[in-house]
Formats: sequence, structure tokens, C-alpha cells
Amino acid sequence: MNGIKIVTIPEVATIEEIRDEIRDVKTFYLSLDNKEIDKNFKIKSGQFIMCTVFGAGEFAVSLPPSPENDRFHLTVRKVGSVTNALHELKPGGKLGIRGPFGNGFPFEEIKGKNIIYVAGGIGLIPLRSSIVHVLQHKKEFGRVLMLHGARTPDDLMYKDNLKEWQSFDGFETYITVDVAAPGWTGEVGFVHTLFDKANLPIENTVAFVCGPPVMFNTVIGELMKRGLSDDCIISTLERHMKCGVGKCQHCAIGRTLVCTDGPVYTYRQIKTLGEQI
Amino acid sequence: MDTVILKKENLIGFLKSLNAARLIAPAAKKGTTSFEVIDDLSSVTLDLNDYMASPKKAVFPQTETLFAFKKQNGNLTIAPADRAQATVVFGIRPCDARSFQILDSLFRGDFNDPYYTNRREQTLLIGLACKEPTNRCFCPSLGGSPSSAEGLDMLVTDIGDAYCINVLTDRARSALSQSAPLLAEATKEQRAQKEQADKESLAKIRRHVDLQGMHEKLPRIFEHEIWMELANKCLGCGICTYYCPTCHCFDIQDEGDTSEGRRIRVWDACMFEEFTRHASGVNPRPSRAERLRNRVMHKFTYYPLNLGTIACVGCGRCIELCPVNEDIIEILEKVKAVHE
Repeated sequence: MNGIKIVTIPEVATIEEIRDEIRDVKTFYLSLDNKEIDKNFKIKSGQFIMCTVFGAGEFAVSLPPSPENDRFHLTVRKVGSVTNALHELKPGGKLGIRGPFGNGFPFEEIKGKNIIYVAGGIGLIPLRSSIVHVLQHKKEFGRVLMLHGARTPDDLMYKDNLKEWQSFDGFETYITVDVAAPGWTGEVGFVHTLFDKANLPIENTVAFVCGPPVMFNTVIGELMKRGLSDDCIISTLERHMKCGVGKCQHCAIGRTLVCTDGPVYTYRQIKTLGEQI
Repeated sequence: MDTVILKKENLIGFLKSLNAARLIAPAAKKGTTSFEVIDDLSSVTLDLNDYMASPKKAVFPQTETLFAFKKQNGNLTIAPADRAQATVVFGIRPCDARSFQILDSLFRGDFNDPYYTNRREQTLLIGLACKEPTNRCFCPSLGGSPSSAEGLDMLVTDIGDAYCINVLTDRARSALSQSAPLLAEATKEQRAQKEQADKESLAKIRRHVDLQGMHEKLPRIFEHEIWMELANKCLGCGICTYYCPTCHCFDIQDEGDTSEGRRIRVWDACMFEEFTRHASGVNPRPSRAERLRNRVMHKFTYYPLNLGTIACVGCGRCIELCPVNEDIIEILEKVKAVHE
């Protein structure tokens, strides 16, 4: 279904609710003030939007909600001046939304396959949409696994979702932390150390990998060592973005523009980009 | 009447007869000549200076408002920018007119940039053939010429005692609806004078570069140390991009405070360190070598691959204005000389 795309002038949205996730990360539940547009605002997993904090600026942010039956929200780490201004806002506060932009994760193409999600830290934010969407259609997929690693137990994202997912029938979840804390009884170690324990499928399998560069490189290396092909490894790239529609050149990596060609790429594509990702 | 003659003393009358809501033309300003919005027609001069910037700003201003916002009693209202005025750009060089076509391929593309497109559709281009190409001009290497009519609605050529005007589009014909009393059909002799002027100016082009195979060669030497060497003297000042008629990188910034403000689009440059720096501080294009490589490859590899045309018209302004004498032709020659 094709929804609308807000391209140049942001649509005003109101913050309905704010939840603390982990240190410096909050989730903002939103609705667009124009109810007609709100109703027709459809996203695909893996797309992003440009979010305006009026008076501070605009930033690119991934979309964690599922395209179906999920509350619209953004999960944002406070890192620069605009996201800092966002974190100061209260429920009732106004934001601007442009988008959705970008290609999005494949969904139809991966039906029938085994799916592995590997998320490091806040790398779970861009993957959440796809995870929820795939679980909503679990019967159409093979094995579905999630391996999530965070620095400490306090850095585990979406704790309510994690709890729910751990008891979701047929969703194989593995959670680990780099450094334990008092009371932690779970796994300790980097996320790839769980691969053997999880008995990862390789045949007819697609892996979604998101996380910081060190984790990303190690995980990709381990997956390929186990025989997963580079075109079956999928990630979403981040870039300093401005226009969102392929004009301004800020998000160029070699000849590709992350805002229009991406942000979702296979590792096979990523390898050919030339420039540093 | 597609080739007509205008007496030199009738230039001001001719410009007046075009009835442009906005006229942008070369005018004397602060001891030099630059493209300006003309209020007083007597300030127009066709004595162009060698360095002057292209009139790119006519369709892509250095700073433009995209919208304004205002918060009142908890309601936020957004006011879109004003629509463009009908504009005549008079005196644009043939290379710069070609650059507008290169910008079109980007800004129109899959998604029409409404701000650019609106201005572009409202703009009539009247070119002035170059009589005296500078010693840095190399437009023929990019498929142009000092008398190229490509992308123009009219082309004006100085034939000594008069201007010869080629009327090239229907838009130009309707723009001339009030100009007929000032124009006469060109005689055979005047047409020959125009041809002679074109030949003479083309013969004055001194620099050339053969770009055969360039877009394939650049990716093959992506990791070569030549980029470090070439970037050694680059200051990263970005003047090459600000004067380039095809450079179009821009930034989007918000001005104001939480109650009232505006969003602006401003020229930016991939030669700047901040251009790719994330809010986290991570910069995937951290050194001048990578930035210089990106600029060269964007023009000579990525643009041709993605949009079908080299993003350079051979105007040579970057060569003329670089404070440390980086020379795009020398860079391209060095790239060609790299043994793989």
C-alpha cells in the first residue's frame, strides 16, 4: 500500500507520551496533527524520517514501529544539539515530520527463509520494526532468532519488548552483556560468542545486523566464516543527512546516496561502496 | 527571424523591451563586475570580468528560505516560501548555461526539487558568446565551446559594430514580442561575421584535457596514494566549490527560537570537514585527501554513472581562484598517469 510522503515542508506532530529507555535514550510516541495525513502515513520497516525540533533543527532517525498495528514512535539517543533539544520536550510538545524516506528492509523477498537478527546496543532500534513485523507473520518464515548484546544490563534496549519476545512461541532469543552487574544471571560476552549456542541456521537464511562498527565487523566476519553469503547479510547505514531526497550530497558514500538508495544495503553492496561506511 | 541584429546603442532599450519582472545581468559593483539583480538598466555592462561567479544563484540562491514557522497559543503554523518571479538572466556565458542543464539532471531527477524547479521554469537564459576566453578555459574538452548555444533561449554574439542574436526557443520568441522595432534580420554578411567571431574565440582556447576513460579509471585508483599527494597543498577552503557552476551541495539549517523561526537552505561544500561529520563526532570522510577524491570522483565518475553527464563544464574558475594553485586539469592528468 502506498502512503503519502512528506517531502519538503514538515507536517506537525504532537508528542503523546515519552518513555525512558536507557541512559540518554527515550521513546517518543507521536501522532500527526493533520488526521487525514496521520491515517495515510504508512512506513516500511527500515525506512527513516527527518524529524524537526522547531527552533533547533532537523535530524534523520530510523523508524522502530512495525508498519502494521503498532503505535507510531521514534526512539532517539541524545547526542547532538537537536536531539538534546528533543529530549527537553514534554508530552504535548510539537515536532515536524518529513518522510518516510529510503528503501526499507526486504520483506516479501525473505518470506520462507530463516531470519537472524543481530543487534548491538541501540542497533536494536532500527531492527525493531522488522522484528515486530516478522513476528506478526511468523508462520510465513522459518526459524526466527534474535541475538542482542549490550554493554551492561542497564544498556539493554526495549526491556518490555525483550520480555515479551523471550516468551514468544518459536522466537529464539539470546541476550548477552559485555559486563555483568549485581543480580545479572544471563550471558556475559560479546554477541557473536552466542552463535554456537544458538546453532545458527546458514542455509536459506538472512541475517540482519545493526550495531557499532567494531561489533558489526566482528559479527559479519563470524557469519561469513560459518558460510553465510555476503548478499544474505543485511544492514542499515547511518549518515549525516540533510535533504532526505538525494540532492544535498551529505549522505553520499561513493556513488550511492544513503537517503534514496539506502539506508538498507546487503553486505555485498556495502563492500563495493569504496568509502568508509 | 531566428538570427537578428541589435545595434549596440539599443542594448538598454532591448533589455527594457523584454519586460522582465526580474532581470539578472552583469553590472559594475565594488570595482568589479558580477551578476546582479538590475534596478537601473544603465548599470548593465557586457564587459565581463574574468573571475565573476556564474549566475547559478538565479535558480539556486546561496541562501534561501524554505519555510517559516510560528508558534502562537500552542498552535504551530508553517508558511511556505514565496513562489519565484519571472526572471531573465542576460549575459550568461555558454559554459554556465550548460551547467544549468547539469543541475537540472539532479534537481529535477526522480523527485523534482520544487524550489529549484519553480525558479528554473520562470527563468529565461540569454547567453553572451565569449569573445576572449581566458587562459584557464577548457570548455571544448567537456563538449562545449565559447559560442555554444546549448541550454540557452537566446545567444548574443558581439560582431564588432552590433550584436548578432540567435533566437533559439519559443519562449525566447514570445519574450521578444515587444522588441521587434529594435531588431533587424541578420544579413548574409552579418551571419558570416558571427561565424568568424565563433571561430576566432574557439581558436583562443589554450587548455585541453582528454577525458576518455576517466570515469572508469578513477574507481580503479581509489586507494592510490596520489590522493594524499594531491591533497597535500589543499587548504580545504572550498572556494572551488563556491565558484563552480555545477557544484550543488547544500546544507539545511534552522534559524530562530522555539516560538518563531525559519528553515533555510544554504550552499555547502564537500571540501569541508563538517560536511559528513555525524553528531556523535564520527567522520567517515575524515581527511582532505578523501574529500578531494570525493569532489573529483563526484564530478568525473559518480555524476556520469548516476545522472549521465560529467559535472564540469570546463570554465576553469576553480583553477583561477584556488589560493594554492590546485589545477583540476593537472589533477586529471596525474590521475591518467598513475600506473595501475
